[in-house]
Amino acid sequence: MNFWLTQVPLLAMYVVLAVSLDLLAGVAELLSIAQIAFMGVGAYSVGYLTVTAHWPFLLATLVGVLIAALAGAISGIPGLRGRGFIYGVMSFAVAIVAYTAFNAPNNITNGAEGIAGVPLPSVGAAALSDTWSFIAVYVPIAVVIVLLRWRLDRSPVNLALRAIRSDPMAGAISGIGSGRLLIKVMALSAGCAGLGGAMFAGLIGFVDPSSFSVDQGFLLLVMVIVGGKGNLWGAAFGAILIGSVPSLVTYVNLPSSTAGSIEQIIYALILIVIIRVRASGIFPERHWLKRERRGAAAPVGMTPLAPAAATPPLSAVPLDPVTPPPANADTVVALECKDLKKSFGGVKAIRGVSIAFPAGRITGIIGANGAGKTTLIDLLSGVQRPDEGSVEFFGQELRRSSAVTRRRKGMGRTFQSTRLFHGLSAEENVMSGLGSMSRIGLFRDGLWRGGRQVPRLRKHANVYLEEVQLRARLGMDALDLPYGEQKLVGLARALASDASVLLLDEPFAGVSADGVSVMSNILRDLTQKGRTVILIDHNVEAVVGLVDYMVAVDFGAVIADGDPKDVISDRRVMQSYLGTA
Amino acid sequence: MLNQFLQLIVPSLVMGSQTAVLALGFAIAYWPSRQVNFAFGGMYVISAYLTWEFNKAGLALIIATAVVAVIVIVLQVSIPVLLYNPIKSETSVFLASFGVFILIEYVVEAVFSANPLFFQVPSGQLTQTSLGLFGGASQLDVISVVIGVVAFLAVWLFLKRTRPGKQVRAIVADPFMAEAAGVSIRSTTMICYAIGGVLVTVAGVFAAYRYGLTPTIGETPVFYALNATLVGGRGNILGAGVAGFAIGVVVTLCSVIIPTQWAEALAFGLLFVALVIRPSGLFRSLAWT
Repeated sequence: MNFWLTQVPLLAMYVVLAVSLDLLAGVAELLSIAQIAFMGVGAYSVGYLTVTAHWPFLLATLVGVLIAALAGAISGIPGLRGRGFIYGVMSFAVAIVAYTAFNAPNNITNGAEGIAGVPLPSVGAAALSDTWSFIAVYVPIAVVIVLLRWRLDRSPVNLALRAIRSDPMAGAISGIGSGRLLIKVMALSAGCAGLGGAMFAGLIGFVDPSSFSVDQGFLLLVMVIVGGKGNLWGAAFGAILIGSVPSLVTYVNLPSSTAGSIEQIIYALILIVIIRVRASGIFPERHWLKRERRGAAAPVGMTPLAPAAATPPLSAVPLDPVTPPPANADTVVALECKDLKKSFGGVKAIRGVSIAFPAGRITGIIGANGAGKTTLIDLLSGVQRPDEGSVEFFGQELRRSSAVTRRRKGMGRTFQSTRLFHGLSAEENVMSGLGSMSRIGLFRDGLWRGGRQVPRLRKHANVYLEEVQLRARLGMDALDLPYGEQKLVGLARALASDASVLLLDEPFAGVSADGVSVMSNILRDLTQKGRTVILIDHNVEAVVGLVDYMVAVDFGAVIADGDPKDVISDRRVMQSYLGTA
Repeated sequence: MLNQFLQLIVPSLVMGSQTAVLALGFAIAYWPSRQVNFAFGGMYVISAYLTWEFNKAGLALIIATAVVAVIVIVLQVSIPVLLYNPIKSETSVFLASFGVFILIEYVVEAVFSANPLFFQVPSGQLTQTSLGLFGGASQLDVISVVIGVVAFLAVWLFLKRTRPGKQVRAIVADPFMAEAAGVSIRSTTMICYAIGGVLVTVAGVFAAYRYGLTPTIGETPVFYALNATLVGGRGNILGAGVAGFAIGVVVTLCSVIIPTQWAEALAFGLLFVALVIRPSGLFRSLAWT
C-alpha cells in the first residue's frame, strides 16, 4: 500500500475540521481554539458509547455530533460579549477546561489512559476494514462538508456574517441580530468538529487526551490562517498542507527523539512566515458579489452625480404596507417619547424630553453641538437604553425592546458617521439592510436555499441604489466612496429596510448640494407614501425648507417646537445657536 | 481542612508573588502596545535554559542571570520590531506570537530534550524554618516574596515617577493624544518590552532554580500572566500585578479542594467567569493614578 494513500482518510478528517472552523474563525471572524475541545467531545462520545455502552457506531456518531454542537453553542454564548482576541482567550479557557476534564481520572474518558479498542466504523454488518474502505467513506464525507460550506458561502448568510463582523451595532440597526445567528454558526461548526472527532476515533481506534491538547487546537487554527481566513478552498488547502507535515516527517525517517519537535517547529515557522508575508493567507477571502461585478461596474474615475432634477419614482420600490394607513395623518402619532432621561456619569445628556412625532410627516430636530440630539436618536432607535421615560411606537411601548426588535417592528436609522460595513461593496451594504435579511436563518436561508435568493435581493438593493443615484458605484467597496456618497449609501441601506419610521442622524453633513436635493426629494416622496421621517441636522437651511414640524433642543431639553419658521425665530433658539438674545 | 489551608499560606504567598511578577512583565508591554505577546512564555523558557547552561559552564548564578537578562531584553525588543509592528491586526499578532512561543519551546526541546534538568541547590536554601500552625518557610520562599514586592514597587515607581513611565500612562490612556503631544509610542513600548524582559528573566530563572526545567515550563506562567492582565482591568498595569497575585493565591489554596491538575483549568474558568461579569476587567481602569 502506498504510504501517502494511507494518509488520505486522516487528511479528509482535517478538511472537515478546518472547513467548519473557518466558518467561525474566518467568515464570522471569531477566532476559536476550542474546535479541538468539540472534536474531543465527539471522539470521546463515540469511544465511550461504542466501547462501554456497546452502541452501534453510527448512532454513537450522531449523538456525539449533537453533544458537540450543544457544547459549542453553550460555551460560545459568553464569548459573544467580547469579540476579537477576547473571544480567542475565552476559547482558550474552553479548550483548557475540556482538556483537563478529558485528562482527569474518571469513568467516562478514562483519564490519561484513554479509551482503547474503539471498533471500526460500521453500518450493520459492513465495517470499514482497510485503507480503501476508509477512503471510500471519509473522502465523500469531506466533500459533503465542503459542498455545504460552499452553499453557505454563496447564500445571504455569508453576507450577514460579514456585515456583523464588520460592525455589530450597525448590523443590529439593519435588523441582523448577531446573537442568534452566531450561536447557530457556533453550533454548526462545533457539530462538524464532533463529526471530525468521530472520524478520528473510528480511524485511530484509540482516544486519549493528548490528541485534544491546546497545541492541537492551535494547529487547526494554523490550517485556517495559513490557507486563508474566510476562504473555503484556503481552509481545505491549509488542512491538507499542515495535515501532511507529520506524514512528511515520518516519511523522511527522522530520529524519533526529534521528530515531534521538528513537526512543531515546521508548523510554527509556516504560521509566522505566512502571517508576516501574506497576512490574509495563501488563498485570501474573496467577495462573491464584487468579483462577479468586476468590469461591469466600478468606474475608475468618479463620474459626477447626475443632477437631481427629476425624482425617480418610488413606485418601483417594493414597499411593504405600512402598519396604520395615516388616513388622518395629523392626529396619528408614529413615535412618541415621554419624559426621557439619560445620564453619562455626571453628564445629564437628556433631561426629560417628551416629543410626539406625527406620522407621515418629516420632523426636524435642531440644536447646537452637545445639545443631546444624537443621544435622543440613540434612545429612540434602541442603541442606548434610557434611564427613565418611555418610547412608544404607534402606541406600543418599546422600552425593553432592543435595536434589532425595533428594526423588525419598522424603525430604520442612519448614523452620523455612516457606519457602513467595511469590506462590503455598496451593493452588499444596501442588500444587508433589506427587510428579508433581518429574518435570515442559517439552515433555511443558508444551507437549504443557498444562493437562490441572491438575485432577488440584489435586484431590490439596486432599486434603492438607483434611488440615491449611485447605481454606477454598486461594485465598489463602500468605504472607498467619497464621504458624501457614503452618506447616500447609508440612506439607501436604511431605505432598504422599508421601515415605516426612519431616523436620520445628520444626513446632510458632508453631502454635496446635489446630494442634499436628491435626499430631500426622496424624503418628501417617502412621506407621501405614508412614511414618517425624523432627522437631525446642522444644515438649518435645508431642514427648514424640508420639514413639516420642528423641535429645538438645548442642554438635553426641548426649548421650542412647532412650525419650522416659528421655531427658528424663537428667541431662545437663536440664543442657543448664536449665544445672543 | 482549616489546618491544611493554614499550611498553604506560605506556598500561596510564594506562588502569588511569582505570578504577580509575570503578570507585571506581561501587562506592562501589553497595555501600551496592545500586542498579545505569547512569546513572553518563550522568554521564560529561554531565560531558564540559558542560565542553567551558563551556570553549568561555571558562571556564578547572579552573573549568569544578568547576562541572560541582557539577551532576553534584546529578544523581547527585536520580536515586536521584526514581527508584530508590521502586522496591523490584533488577532494576527496574537497568533504570530503564539507561533513564536511554540517555535521556542520546540527548538529548546530539540536541543536539550524533553527530560527535566535541575540546578544544584544548596540544601540549606530549602530547609524549612517551622512557623508552627502555619507550616514552614525556607530561604527561597522568603526571597521569592521579596522579589514580588520589589518588582511591584519598581514598576509602580517607574510608572509614577519616571518620564518614560508617565509616557506609558499617557499612551495607555489615549494613544492618539499621547502621540500628538510628542510621545513616541514605538520607543516607549520598546522600553516596556525591555522591562518585561527583565521581569520574566527574574521569574523564569528563580522558578527554574527552585523547581527545575522542562521545555514546557513557560506555558502555565504565560497563561496566568495573560489571565491576570485581562482581569486586572483595562490599562491597569499594577492591577494586573494584583490580579496575578490573587490568581497565584487562589490556585494554590484551591489545591486543598481540587486536584492540582485542575489548577490551570480553574484559573481559566475564573477568567471566563470574570470576563462574563465584567468584560473590561475587575478593577476600575487607571484607578491608581
